[in-house]
Amino acid sequence: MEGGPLREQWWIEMAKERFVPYLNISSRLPSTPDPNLLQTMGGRGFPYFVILDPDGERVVPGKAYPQFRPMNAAGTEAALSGVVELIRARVRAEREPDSPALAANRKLLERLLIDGKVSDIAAEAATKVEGVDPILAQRFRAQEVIVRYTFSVRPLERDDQEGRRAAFESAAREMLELHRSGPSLLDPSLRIFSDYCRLVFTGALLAGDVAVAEKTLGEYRRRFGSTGQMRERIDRMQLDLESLKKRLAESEDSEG
Amino acid sequence: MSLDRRHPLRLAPLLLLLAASLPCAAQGDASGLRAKYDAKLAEPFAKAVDWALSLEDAKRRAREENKPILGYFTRSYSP
Repeated sequence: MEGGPLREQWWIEMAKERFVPYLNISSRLPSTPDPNLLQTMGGRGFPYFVILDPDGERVVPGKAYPQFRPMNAAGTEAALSGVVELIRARVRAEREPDSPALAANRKLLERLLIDGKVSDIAAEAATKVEGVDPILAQRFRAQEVIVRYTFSVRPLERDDQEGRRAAFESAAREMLELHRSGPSLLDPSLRIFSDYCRLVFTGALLAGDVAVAEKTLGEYRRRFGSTGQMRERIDRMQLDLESLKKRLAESEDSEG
Repeated sequence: MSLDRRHPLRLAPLLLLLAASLPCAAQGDASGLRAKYDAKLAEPFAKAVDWALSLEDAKRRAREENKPILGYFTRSYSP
């Protein structure tokens, strides 16, 4: 890192414009600053990177970004974007302390980004506040679907393919319902985009909803189609969609 | 007086010598660690941006500028 990304031009520019760079050198000397901060911040080895809010609370690694290394400008910008969004929401809420909607927006963002910061009940209540950002409320609900899915597969054996498939399909149905009932989260700038797309797509296949499956796959392909690793998955999704169309056509023919 | 080769006090002079040399070794070690720390701070990556070197300083700057803090943890005592 020190001989590469941390000397590159994009890094130097971002360190001026986008964030405050903080360097912690573990030295085994008693006189150097913040000697135990690595452990406090959840680090177990070197190198270790964190993104903190201005009060020093760790946001990355965390719920939204379990791992982070600033390898390039795009990845670093994506990891920073959540914290920047949170800072803006806090500034707005501070400027208008009497606005329940702005306080709810702030709370939902904290829930989305910081582990253990906002309880289930408080987050749920925030989604019901009049004037709350509907996209934020939807992001919270979608994240909850993913968290429930993650917890449901955790106790399963690695080779329990049937159990894993059932858990994924259950989450997919839930995400499809969310997609149908609220604002769409088919926005590639959202961290949740990839999981959301895959779940909505699978939910649409299970429900025989060609329109939603096509739309979701289209957005997914636009975002990831140029990535070699993802091409295989996208091709598989396309095949699944084609076979759904074929099945529906055949059943129409047999009915007609 | 001759001590039996298995007598527990036979190693006393050696231990005394070791104990006397420990502070010097620690001092040498500390100055070596300090040199490594200073060398780390002089590396091109450390000079490339305006790093805050304490969390308090980073927080002060972040609050003033309404920006996130990007923290990097590294070490100077081994490569």
